[in-house]
Amino acid sequence: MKIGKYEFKDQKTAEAKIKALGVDTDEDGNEYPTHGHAIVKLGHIVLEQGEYDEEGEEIKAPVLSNKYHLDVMWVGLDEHPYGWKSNAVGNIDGNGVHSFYGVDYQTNKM
Amino acid sequence: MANEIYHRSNWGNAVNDIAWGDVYEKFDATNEMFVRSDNYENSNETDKLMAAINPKPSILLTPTAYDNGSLHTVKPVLSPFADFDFTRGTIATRVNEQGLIEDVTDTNLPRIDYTDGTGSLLLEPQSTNLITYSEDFSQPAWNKSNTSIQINTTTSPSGNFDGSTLTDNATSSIHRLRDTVSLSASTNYSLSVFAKKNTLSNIQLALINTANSNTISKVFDLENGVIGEELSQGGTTVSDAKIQNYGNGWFRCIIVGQLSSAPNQYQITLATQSTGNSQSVKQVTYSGDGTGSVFLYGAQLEELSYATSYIPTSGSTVTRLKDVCLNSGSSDLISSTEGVLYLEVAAFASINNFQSISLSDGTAQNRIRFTLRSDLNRAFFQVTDGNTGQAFINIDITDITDFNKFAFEYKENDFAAWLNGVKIATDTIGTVPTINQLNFTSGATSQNFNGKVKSVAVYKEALTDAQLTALTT
Repeated sequence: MKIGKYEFKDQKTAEAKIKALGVDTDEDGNEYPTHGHAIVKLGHIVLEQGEYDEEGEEIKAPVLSNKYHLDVMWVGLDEHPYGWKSNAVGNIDGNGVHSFYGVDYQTNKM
Repeated sequence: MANEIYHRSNWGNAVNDIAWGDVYEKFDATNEMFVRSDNYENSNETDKLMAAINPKPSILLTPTAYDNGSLHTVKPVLSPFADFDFTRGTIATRVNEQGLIEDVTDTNLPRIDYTDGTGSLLLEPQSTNLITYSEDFSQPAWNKSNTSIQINTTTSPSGNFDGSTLTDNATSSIHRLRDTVSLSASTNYSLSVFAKKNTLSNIQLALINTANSNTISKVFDLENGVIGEELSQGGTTVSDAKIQNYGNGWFRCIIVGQLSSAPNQYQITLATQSTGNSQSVKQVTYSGDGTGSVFLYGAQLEELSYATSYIPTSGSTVTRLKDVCLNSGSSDLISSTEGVLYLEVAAFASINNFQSISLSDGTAQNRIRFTLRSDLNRAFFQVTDGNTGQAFINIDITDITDFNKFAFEYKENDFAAWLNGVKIATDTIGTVPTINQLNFTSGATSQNFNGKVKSVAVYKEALTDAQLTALTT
């Protein structure tokens, strides 16, 4: 398995990419993936933490990425699926802001 | 862990026929079925012989044996076996026989978990611990207000000397640890932490938005292991709370709920009592003296309506992938004419479920499935033949998060569901599909079962009412 880290211009674009990997709806109306890849929706990740006073009032708002982020553990793939490579994030130190438990990103990155 | 891995060849020699469900088969010349007495480990002398049940299960999962990538069934004893394929993709933690949290370091190794004191197969969904430093509370990410933290001061639920001490100061105010996060409004989250009393015996656990205008929180009594007062505001309340005993004075304190505005902070606050605390915007206050403290370990925040097994973090959020257990059985072991599916299982949540265990042909078109429903404490058995519904029986359960014993008997125009010794309902019209697989899904690969499993058995023959009563009692 390989790990890919991606950023998309917005959630809608990311959701469309995920759906294109294969989604079906069972007879109970529940949508489920038809692939075995594991996708973690990180969303607009925090680039700088916010600051708050003792009462919890916001002193400085957190700085969020303007991109929508996904981490994916690809099963049975050695290359990015079509349309994903251009959204891959490069030059991550360590595991970045998110990791899969016990699976090192640097060793297993796509 | 090695003590639990019983190879198939050893089962016949096991002194106590080791298994976790209430029903087991004795592997001597008689191969008789027994109902286990209360004491699992030393119960052979008093176990009740199920003499009336002459048909024996063709597939029996207790579960006690596994290997990386495989969950072994106790029966059939001879090849071809009915082992499940097991995958997870990441490592995970479990509570071991000694009651300690430990890593299961093979990515596809099934977990036998002892959180409840006895073993059961743990099948969990994918989940992410959104707290970036779950154990190192000394990190700057954890903002300290009128408190100080000392790490590695006590033995934690992992058995290692990595628990921390949170101590107040001599101020009359809020004494807390707080961390920031970016979450979504109107979304269920579970927040948990392991805590042990020291000179103080209470903590408050809270998920809050900016300025505390919207808060869900509970106080936990670490002396008596009970949940104290709720201190929520802004029109939202804690939807579920638990305090789970992890031994040696440690408790896992859990709150579940959602805020109508986006949560952006969570906090652990020291408290002097479980109810009647003084407060400031729903945060417990008291006059500290610089010596009041509790022990802490393993904080976890998940986008789920319940807390899952502990996921340690140290600088990033961390995801444990879901447990997938598939592909047991064959047409030789599963009858498409008549039979019984027996289950001893517990759900993680009492509501908003939709997960299944099934006999099928690998599709949803032909299957007999047991499904945890989305409505409160309810499950159903359903038969589908050629994509046409044949039988459907609802089961209302007192508490679906407790272990319950279910059985479903199937035969053309003769279907019946059992719960804990009681025949719940029958359905007298319908055909039986052609089936040859046992899966922890709805028949194909969706609706993976999430919960705890002590036993699954498949019979190739219909059983009598007396036998089904004995089996599920």
